[in-house]
Amino acid sequence: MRFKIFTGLCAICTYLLPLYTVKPNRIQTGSAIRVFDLPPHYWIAALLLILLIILIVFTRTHTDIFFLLFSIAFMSHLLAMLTFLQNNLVLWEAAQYGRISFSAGFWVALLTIYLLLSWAYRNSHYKTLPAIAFILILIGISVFVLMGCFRHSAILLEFQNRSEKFLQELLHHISLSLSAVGTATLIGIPAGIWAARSEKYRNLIFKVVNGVQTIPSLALFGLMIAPLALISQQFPVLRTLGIAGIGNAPALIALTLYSLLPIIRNTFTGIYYIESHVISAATGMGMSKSQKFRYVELPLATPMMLTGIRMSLVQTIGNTAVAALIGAGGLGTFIFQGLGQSVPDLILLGVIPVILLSVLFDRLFHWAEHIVTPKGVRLAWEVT
Amino acid sequence: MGGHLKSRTRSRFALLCIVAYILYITLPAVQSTFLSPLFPNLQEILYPRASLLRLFAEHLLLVMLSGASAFFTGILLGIAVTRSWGREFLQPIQDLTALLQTFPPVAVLTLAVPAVGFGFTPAYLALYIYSILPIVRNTITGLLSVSPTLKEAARGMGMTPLQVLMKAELPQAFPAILAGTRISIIINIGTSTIGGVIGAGGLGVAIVAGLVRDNTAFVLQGAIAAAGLAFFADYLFETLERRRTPQ
Repeated sequence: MRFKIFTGLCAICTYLLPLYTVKPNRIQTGSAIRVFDLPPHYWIAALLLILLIILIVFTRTHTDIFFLLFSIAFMSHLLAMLTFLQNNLVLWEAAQYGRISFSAGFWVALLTIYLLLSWAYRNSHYKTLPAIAFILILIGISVFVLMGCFRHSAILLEFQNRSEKFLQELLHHISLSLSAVGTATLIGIPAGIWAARSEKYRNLIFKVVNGVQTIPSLALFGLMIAPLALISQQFPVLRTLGIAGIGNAPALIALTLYSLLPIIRNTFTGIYYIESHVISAATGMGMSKSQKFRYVELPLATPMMLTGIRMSLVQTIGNTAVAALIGAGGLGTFIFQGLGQSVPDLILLGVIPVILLSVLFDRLFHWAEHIVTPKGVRLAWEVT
Repeated sequence: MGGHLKSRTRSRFALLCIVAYILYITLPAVQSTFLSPLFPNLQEILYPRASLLRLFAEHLLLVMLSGASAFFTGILLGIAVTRSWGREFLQPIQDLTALLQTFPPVAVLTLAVPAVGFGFTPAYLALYIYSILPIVRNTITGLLSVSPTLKEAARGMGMTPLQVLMKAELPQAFPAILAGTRISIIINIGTSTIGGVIGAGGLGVAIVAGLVRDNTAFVLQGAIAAAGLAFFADYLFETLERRRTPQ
């Protein structure tokens, strides 16, 4: 009950806060738009929606379905207001070069929709319903985008000005992150297995990778520059290969070093904490050492290793954004350009894809972890 | 006996490092004697706009303020959602914090600029919000792992709910909370280094200035200080954790 009330309050907050900001052009500060600044039928609709959410919160039956329906209506209302603003920019003295940014109310609205959908998902008997609602909302948004509802929205304008560069940097971001984590996986899994086997070096390995992880990312990038610049000055051959103090080489090295800890730690945990009776059973079956590794230890440790790779990847996608500061490119380029020119929407053009990428890869790996978990282990987890 | 001796040399070594670090931070002469042999070709070795000590103080202030406020908020939130009246929020808070933790800290920091603007306040807010996450999660884990028999026993002794919380549950959950705080503070130190870009000051200012002006000496000057700060914070928490863990 308390949670439902909280969600309802979030929905009401949406309408009290400024939803959008209209700016005459890229540089000027704009005017905040609340729902009451729009023609009456928009705020009457808002009042009706508020009334509706209060009713839903206090009714006892079918809240899940009502929540889904409400979130769709809520989203449509937000987008309808956006469309009105697009078509009537003149009212705010912002016609041709006018642009619309999202304000606090809009972000609260997204949080509200998240809360509504997650509540419905947790409490619904029909687990597919919220997924359908989510897909419907996504389709709705894309229809609105295609209809040009966002054509004056500032992020889209920033995107259109540099769509080619954006795709290029996006791909570069992904490939830089993936190659760093790939390299780290190639080093980290053997190192983790080694740490699990040799008591002597375990401490040393963990001391080193823990230490690297502690260093702030920007500082590590900075520390990479001096030695690499020196090396490339000494050996001009390397410079022709593109290895220099700034750019991709130091970024890749620093990102790889950063990705090591979660991978090594999880590989170690996965192998080291396999219950001894499992190993005894394998020995009893007459398995050789390499067979035990291949058929028992590795499959049991794989989900744990994937978790490590997932943690590394999510962290690396964020750090790659920082790497733009040492000239490695990627989506961070837009973020720091936006900060330099104080254009908030350019910052968002960089930040939002970075966040989406991390969430996307996180989900992808969660799914992969589920797939590779051996059936027996999954059953054992479900029992406990 | 051997372990005792080893820990003594360890703490002596740490003390030596801390003294060297403090000298490096406070005295520009130490910085230049260390850096100038590395960069014989550079005119300027030290960041001229502000002393390293000043940048260090700004950095520490940002980390401590955001860390301390996140510590209290995180624990309070963790306590709230594990009480019977807040249980409804437990799952949503766990889901939401898990989702927010996949957001990169840099993203949260730079998002603060469109929302609030440039300067110290947005950096403080972003760091504060981001560092609540590990503390809340660990507080919840810690409080949920307290055995029900212990709580039952405490209640049986006639303790009020507040006393049960303060004398039985929180002490049991404390190691987990401390671990969460450690993660927060280390992430905080790293992220506030980037705070230099959004006008929040700190050691990142020297690093970024060095990158922009192609002066590796500034970069190194700031990077060493930032890395050292992170190491010492980590060491401090390790010592604390060792003391708190029952033998």
